Amino acid sequence: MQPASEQITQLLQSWNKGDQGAIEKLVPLVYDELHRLARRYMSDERPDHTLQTTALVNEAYLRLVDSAHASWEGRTHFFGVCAQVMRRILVDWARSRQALKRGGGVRVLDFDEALAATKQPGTDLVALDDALSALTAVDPRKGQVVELRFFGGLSVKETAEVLKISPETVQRDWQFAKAWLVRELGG
Amino acid sequence: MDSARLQQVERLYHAARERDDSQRAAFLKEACGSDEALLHEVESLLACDPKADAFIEVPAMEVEARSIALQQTKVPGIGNSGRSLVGKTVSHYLILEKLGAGGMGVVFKARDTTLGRFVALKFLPESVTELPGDSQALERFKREARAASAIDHPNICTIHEIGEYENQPFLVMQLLEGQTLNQYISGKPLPMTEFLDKAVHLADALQAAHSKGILHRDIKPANIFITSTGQVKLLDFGVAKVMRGRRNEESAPSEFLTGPGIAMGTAAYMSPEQARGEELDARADLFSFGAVLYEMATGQPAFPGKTTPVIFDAILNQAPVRPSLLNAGLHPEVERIIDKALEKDPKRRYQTASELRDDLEAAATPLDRTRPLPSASRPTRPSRRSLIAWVAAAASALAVAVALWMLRLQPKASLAETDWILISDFVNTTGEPIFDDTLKQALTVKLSESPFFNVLTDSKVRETLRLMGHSPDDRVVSPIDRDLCQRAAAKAMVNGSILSPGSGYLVDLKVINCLTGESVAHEQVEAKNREQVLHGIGEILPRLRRRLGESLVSIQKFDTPIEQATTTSLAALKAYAEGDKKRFQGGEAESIPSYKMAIELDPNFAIAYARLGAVYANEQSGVLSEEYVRKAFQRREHVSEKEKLYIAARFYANVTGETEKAIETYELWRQVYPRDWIPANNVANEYNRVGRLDKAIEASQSALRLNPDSAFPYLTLAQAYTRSGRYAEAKAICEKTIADKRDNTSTHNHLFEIAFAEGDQAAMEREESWARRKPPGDGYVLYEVAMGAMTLGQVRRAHALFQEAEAMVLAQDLKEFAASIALEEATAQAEVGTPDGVRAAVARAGRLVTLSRQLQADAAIAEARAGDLTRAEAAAKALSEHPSLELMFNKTTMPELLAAIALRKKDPAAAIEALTPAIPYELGTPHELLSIYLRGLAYLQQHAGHEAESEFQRLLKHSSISPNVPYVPLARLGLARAYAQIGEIEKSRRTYEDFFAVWKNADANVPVLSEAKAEYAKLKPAPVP
Repeated sequence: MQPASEQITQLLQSWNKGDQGAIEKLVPLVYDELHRLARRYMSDERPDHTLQTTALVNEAYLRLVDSAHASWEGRTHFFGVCAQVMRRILVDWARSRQALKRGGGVRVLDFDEALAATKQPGTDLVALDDALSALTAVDPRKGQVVELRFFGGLSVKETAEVLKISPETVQRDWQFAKAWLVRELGG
Repeated sequence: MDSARLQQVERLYHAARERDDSQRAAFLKEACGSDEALLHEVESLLACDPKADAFIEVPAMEVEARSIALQQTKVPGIGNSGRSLVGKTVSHYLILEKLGAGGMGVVFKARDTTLGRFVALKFLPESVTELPGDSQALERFKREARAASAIDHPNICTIHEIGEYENQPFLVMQLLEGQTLNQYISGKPLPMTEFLDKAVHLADALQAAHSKGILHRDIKPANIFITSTGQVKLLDFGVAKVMRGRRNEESAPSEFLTGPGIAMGTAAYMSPEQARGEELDARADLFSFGAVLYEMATGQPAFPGKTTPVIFDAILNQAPVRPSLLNAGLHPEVERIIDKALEKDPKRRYQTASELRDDLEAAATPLDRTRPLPSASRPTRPSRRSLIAWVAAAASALAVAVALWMLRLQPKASLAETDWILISDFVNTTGEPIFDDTLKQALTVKLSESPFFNVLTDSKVRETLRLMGHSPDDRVVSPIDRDLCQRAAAKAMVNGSILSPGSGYLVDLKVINCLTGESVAHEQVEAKNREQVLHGIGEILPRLRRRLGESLVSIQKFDTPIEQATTTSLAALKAYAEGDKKRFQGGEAESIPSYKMAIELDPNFAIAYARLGAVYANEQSGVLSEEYVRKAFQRREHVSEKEKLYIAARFYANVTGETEKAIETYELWRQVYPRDWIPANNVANEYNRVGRLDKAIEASQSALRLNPDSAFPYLTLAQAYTRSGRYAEAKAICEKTIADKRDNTSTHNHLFEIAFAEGDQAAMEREESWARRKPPGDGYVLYEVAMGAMTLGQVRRAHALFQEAEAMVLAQDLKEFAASIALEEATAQAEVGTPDGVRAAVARAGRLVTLSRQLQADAAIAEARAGDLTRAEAAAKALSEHPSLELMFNKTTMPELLAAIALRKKDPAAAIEALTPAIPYELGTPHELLSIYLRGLAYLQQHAGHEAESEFQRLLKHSSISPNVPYVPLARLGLARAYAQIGEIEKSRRTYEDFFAVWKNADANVPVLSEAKAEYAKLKPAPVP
């Protein structure tokens, strides 16, 4: 069941006010979008058509976010909360998959050799999450920039609007934060 | 690092980036001065720039979606809970671990929580079942998988079930230990003997599937499994068709060439016609099989290539490298066989799998004069080797679909799963009669629980004794047991004895190979006292079972303690055994006191309740039967796996009437115990009940194959044939049961119905007199005769016969049955008799018993048809206030009642609407043909002559369902009326005349006949041409 947009708004507000349980109700929505996207990659899209898939992602974010932000008190605040929620959910998701992979005695074997060839190194979200927390501790604004850009899916311009800083500053923060995170993650 | 320091670093980082590479070093050196740490910090960040450029530029959502798409490629989303299924329960399967994933789906190891066994669960890619614009994909997949699951062959991985979880279909398959053929080959040719053995088994498996019209369409080494015992298993039968359904097979090859979903592994084994996207037949599988044989024989793929176009070019236009060039030791005949299988023109290839198998077998003969044996006894690679292979495979993370089962510690089994065993009577030298029969009974119940054992049934034993010239009641002990065992084609027998050497008891169980006489297993146990004897047997049984070759998993799974599977009370068991004995001697009613005694002695003796439920059902005492089945159902935790299935099925079939659940349970039972005839027989009855006659025929035929010695499958099959109108076959079976002196009521029922349908007066009279001869008279058959009279419009004669039939069943104290006969008269009177006749019959039924829901509805239908709306509506209201689970009641009886009321209120549209739920069940019971008849009447009332015509035509077409009901001749009358409505006067006239011919001996004053005659007289004369 797809919760109505008012519900999404409410859930985000509850979470923002400290109700940790609210996030559990948002999880299914995010997963739905993830799987919808994944399916489209597998069926319609060729892996190298990045432009198109990025458009798809935007569409997915919009579906999650747009339905709610109309009734939200402030656009800025709203996108900030969305990005945080997204970060929580996606990192948890990545963490649970890792647990499965590394779990004691669990044999995970590929079923079909054809897959090995197409496998791409992905971003380790769990490690990134830790590094991002360390960055936020020393420079909260850079942490926010990364959170909004990467987890919230916002563009540089949108991020600037949300944080009420210039796009140039966002770009500089972003550039530095990425270098810093890459180094933290072991180059 | 603090914030200030970070800001310092950042400033320098950006400043350095604004400068050319060549100037950076100098700039930084100057800016940092003596602060080496600062210099190092900034330099290390700048060094990360090349990587940082692309880093996290793609939003997290897309990263994760891609990783799902790639790493779990085509893994179903499985709804919202897509993290992992491990630890979750899907349907009744607890997911234990993921075994593998790939283009064909994800496979999990799971435990069946109802049956306890381990299975492999395979989820198919979502793309299979969620094709855009194709809502039928899921259904098609299920149909296909169901067809594939019907192939029962030792070299085909069994599909137990097709399930659905959050709209995602999954297959439940046998869990296997071993590796796929491509791992097994791993670049090296197989030794010739092994090659031939495996090839013959695979060809045999293909033949089995092809003979059922099922193609594999994706034969490749990755779809062939070698179990750790060396058995070959073909996986994923029929799945490929669905997988490829999205790429229409008739479509252009370019789709194949560019389509994203084709795994390389698949392309390399495609036949030329498949590569071209043409229609496929069995010969395409044979080509793919040829390519697999090539690889088994040479260690190399027949059509190598890195891309699909290259591979397809090889398949379409090039001959593979001669196998003998790659394997010098190749048998020349094998090379010829592979060449022929790989012919590009299907017409020049092997035409059938059996041809190919024959050639392989012929090639094997000079190598191995003993001919290929079933794989269990073939030499296999030592298990250590396969373990190493397993570990290596796991390490290389390159495959393996299905999982580690459990190590077989004992390579040589004494029994195979298909062998029958005989359980002899115990030799009891204790002088205590309590042990007579009881120990054998307990052993039988316990061993029958495991699908590994096929215990000869009592009826088979009795039949064999008879053929040997003994009395069927003779005790089966040495020396006749070994002779009996051989004659019954059993492999082994269990000889048990109990003696009391001073204090306590000693139980000795010995399993003897009937052919050689040698002992294959021997166990003894001491018991301090009488109460300990059963427990003792329970303790040694697992060892005995293991010795005989049953797997540890199976032993652990079917591990209901022997006392729990039966009873802790020897005395109760003794009474129970006596009941069984009486039943097998032909006395259902006589067995009742024994079973009741068993329950008195142990009120928790679940199977004794179940037997009583069955006996009462056979004795037509529905209410008592229900009561006992319900009690058994409440105690079903105390029984063996098999009895649990039995009790649940009976409960659904006979107590709640949830026929669909009953069918499901019986089908599950058939899957777990595929050699058990009872579920096949019983499910046939349920299929008959819902009017799925083809399934009824299939199931009863299968029951008959499994146990030709029991009378029941004959009776069930005769019923299905009779109802389908396959009279010659039905008569042949009925006559055989009569010749074997195993005929019963239903035999004569069918024979009467057939005689009636065929208008065979002499045969009808024969059955009528049979019914009267059998003391105290067979009320059921006589009721059929009465109904036949009604069908001919002979209301007075019918009325007398109905009363006679009622008296006969009342003489056996079967009041409920008598009431239902009275109500049958009521429904017939409503059509051809008078309202008074209806009222009298309903009143008679009401005096006999408190009417059950079904009987209340029967009465109400008759009343509605006879015009007594007040009573009918009151009944309909009362019945609908207490909803029932009973399938046929909800789907047919209630709709019929509502339709009858609507018709009487001249609201035909409401009647038609009410009858909608009955459509899928209209060939079922209990009111055969009534729903079609009422729908026809409703259309007549609407003056929709064409629609009425087609309903009545359909009824006549299916009249074999029940030829001796008034609806059949009345459908003819309805047809005549329908023709009149649409102006087909000549047809109408002829059809009226047909009706009058059927009713030529009808009572003169039957109202419906008078009406028909008046209508006929008013028909306008046919226009003169």
